[in-house]
Amino acid sequence: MTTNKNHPYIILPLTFMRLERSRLLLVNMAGEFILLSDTEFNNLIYYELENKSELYKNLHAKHFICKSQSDTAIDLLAIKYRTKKDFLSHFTSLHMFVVTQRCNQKCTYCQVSSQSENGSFYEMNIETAKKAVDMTLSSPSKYIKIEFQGGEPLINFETVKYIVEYANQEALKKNKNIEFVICTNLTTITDDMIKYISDKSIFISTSLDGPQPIHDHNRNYRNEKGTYKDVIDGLNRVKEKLSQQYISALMTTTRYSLDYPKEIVDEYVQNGLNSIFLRPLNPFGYAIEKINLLGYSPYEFITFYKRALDYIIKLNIEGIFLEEYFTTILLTRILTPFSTGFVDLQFPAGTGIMGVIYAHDGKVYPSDEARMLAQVGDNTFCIGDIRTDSYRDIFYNYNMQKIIDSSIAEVLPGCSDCAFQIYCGIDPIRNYATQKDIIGNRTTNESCYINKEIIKYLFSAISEGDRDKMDVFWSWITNRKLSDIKSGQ
Amino acid sequence: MIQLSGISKNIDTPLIGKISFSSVLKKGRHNTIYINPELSYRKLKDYLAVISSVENINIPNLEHLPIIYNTRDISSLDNGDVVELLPNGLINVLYQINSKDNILFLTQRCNQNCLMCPQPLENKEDNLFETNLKLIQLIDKSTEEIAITGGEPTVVGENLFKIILACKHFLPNTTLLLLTNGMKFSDYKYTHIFSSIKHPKIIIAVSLQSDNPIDHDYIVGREGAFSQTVKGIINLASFGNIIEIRIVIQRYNYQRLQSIADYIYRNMTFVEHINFMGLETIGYALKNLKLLWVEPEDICKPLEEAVHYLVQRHMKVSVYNIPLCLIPKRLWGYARQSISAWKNVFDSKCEVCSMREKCSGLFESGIDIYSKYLKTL
Repeated sequence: MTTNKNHPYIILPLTFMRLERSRLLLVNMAGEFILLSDTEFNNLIYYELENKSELYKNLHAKHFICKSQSDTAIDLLAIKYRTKKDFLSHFTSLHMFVVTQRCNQKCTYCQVSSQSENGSFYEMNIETAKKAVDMTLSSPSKYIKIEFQGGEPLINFETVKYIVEYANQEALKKNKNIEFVICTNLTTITDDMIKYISDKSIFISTSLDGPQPIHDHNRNYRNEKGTYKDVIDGLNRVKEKLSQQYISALMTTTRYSLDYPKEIVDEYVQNGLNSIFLRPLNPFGYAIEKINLLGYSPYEFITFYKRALDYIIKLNIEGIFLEEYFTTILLTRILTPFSTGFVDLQFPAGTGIMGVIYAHDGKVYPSDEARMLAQVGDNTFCIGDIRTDSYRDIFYNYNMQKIIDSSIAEVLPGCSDCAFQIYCGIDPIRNYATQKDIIGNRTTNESCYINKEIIKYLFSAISEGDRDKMDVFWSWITNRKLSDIKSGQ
Repeated sequence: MIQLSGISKNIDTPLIGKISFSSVLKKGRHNTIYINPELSYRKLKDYLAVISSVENINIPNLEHLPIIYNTRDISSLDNGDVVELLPNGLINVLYQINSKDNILFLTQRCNQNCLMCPQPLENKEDNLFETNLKLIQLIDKSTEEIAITGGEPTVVGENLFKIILACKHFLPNTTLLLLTNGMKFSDYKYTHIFSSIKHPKIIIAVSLQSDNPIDHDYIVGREGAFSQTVKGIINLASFGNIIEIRIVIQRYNYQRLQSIADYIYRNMTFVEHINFMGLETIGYALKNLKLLWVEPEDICKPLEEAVHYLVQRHMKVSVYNIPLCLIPKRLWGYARQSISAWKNVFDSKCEVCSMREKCSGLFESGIDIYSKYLKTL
């Protein structure tokens, strides 16, 4: 690539799409973007940009064009691309432990096919737990997060405590930073457990689907009684001992949620939560059987998401800090040079290389979805057994490599030329589960549709350039109060 | 730089010493310049030199003592200042103990030729290295900050390393502010050696005038400068240096301030501090004023947007050299009192202004140009 009379500049790698009727969105390989009119776009690609025009300068500054191959722009792009892919340098840092398969609840959309409360057959024993911790701490990552899942992990609190003690002890020896999260429905949490969780600085992630009628519709005990009152009671007791930053909640959207975006958001505000995660239904476990009852079209979800997000933004402008977690992830990817966490939305896929799950019986899976498939008899994505396999056996497993090979967005149909590629991610196991193909077909892929629509919506907000709204977005990205941004702190 | 003058006697080469208004212990006398002492050779023979305000000296036995007499304004000197005595009777004040604006002036030379240079100097060979080395040894150890400047301090090449090493050794508690155009740091090896000095408190303030080579190279009068400066910044950062970016606001960049902010955020997120600076209307800046001038009110909007853009992104940003009455109130929190005391003035309108205590005021050189725009707040 060199410049000459007909090609006075080099066009650097870029993707584009029509965002609005008269505007095209161009994104470079580091996620920087610019909006152009059709004429401007044509001038760019036909090498007809005026040398000293503002547009030329803009495109040069944002690294869409450069002057020569030795241009600093190329070094800078390389650095920025590396920064965007920084999540790869840590390798597996999220380790999920299914300490029990049992649960006291039977939620309508449960994706993990939980078992009833009785029977130790479904619990992770100490021996397996020890091996899983050893495996966890063999990861090259200096930062380790252990997430307790289930079932309801509090049912097997003894194993939770064992893992916390043993992992802390080993992490100290290996000079690693370790963090714990318990994903719990909070209905069985005792004051002793809260004290332990607080003493050990453990994070709590719970589920709250909205006000009582919505929550109780989705989330109930095995006797079908609603759990709302007990969840709120648990949450209140937890809040007395743990500071806000240790508590988060997420909601799952079902058909019954669609008409109540405002009420759901208000429920989060009333309970003093400062983060909400508006999740679409996962097509796994029970949910797949009940899809006719619970499900909705991706379009309906997007409508719900937009209404909820607009309302959340309005509340923030009024001075209430509440972020939508997924939006913050996407905005960080769009507006900053940084890489973000979030296992489900990366490429190469985060499955295995960012997160891994140890089932109660010692089987290892690259994601929760892989475990679900195994439960219904499809072992395609099992990558090993903690009791017999070595670190190398598991993380260099053929299935692992196949998953990663199938998630290089730059070469995948539907992703390779998508303008949102750098902001998005791929989950081959989900593709396999929903489309019977590990590569998948983006034209009918619901996750693809939802992600694209959300990103489009965020771009329209960004291009509008409303300062109040942008200040709210930045308060989420930088995790600061809106008033600090307004006053410049 | 403050200069005094008198009549010299017994000075053949420049002498650098520390000012004292009273006698000092014998071991320190060889570096001390005694002010207005009782003129007796027996008492003064160990001192480096003497400065006196007496109009005539006819004491025969002072014949070997370097002295500048008939000196005016001696009261502007303080105990601990460092001065240079020249054979022609000039006294250059190199360091003032009670000033916050002390500098090490490394060279007149520069590898750029900026349209807005306030201090165009003769681009000829000079050698200030020994002077600076001597100065560093005499500067008071409690000095908080000292700026290393020129010209372009990096054009002295490896001598810059020796200067910084000397500062590290003799002034371990003093913060250094290296004012540079950064081009030389595009040389990776140079940056590597520079960084390996590991001065514990050095801030590298790099001037960057645009987000694109067309404007930047034009402003600084050198093709390829943008590319080298950017590469220099990246190299400096790769060794963990603390970097500040300085942008002088003028006709050729004021409409792109937000783009510049974006460029810095996207490519140099690591920088500690970003400074948007008003013009110092002297030197080339005065000569080129027609070319560079932007009405103060036209700067407000782009400046406010650029500052807010960086504040959103949690970057530290300041506005230098612009009086508060010329910027929107929202920017007051970012405006600093940035003008060195010796060239800092206020207008008559400022005398009753309620914000005077917090205002940068003006450069002495800019008072006539800006006076008509100033408002009493």
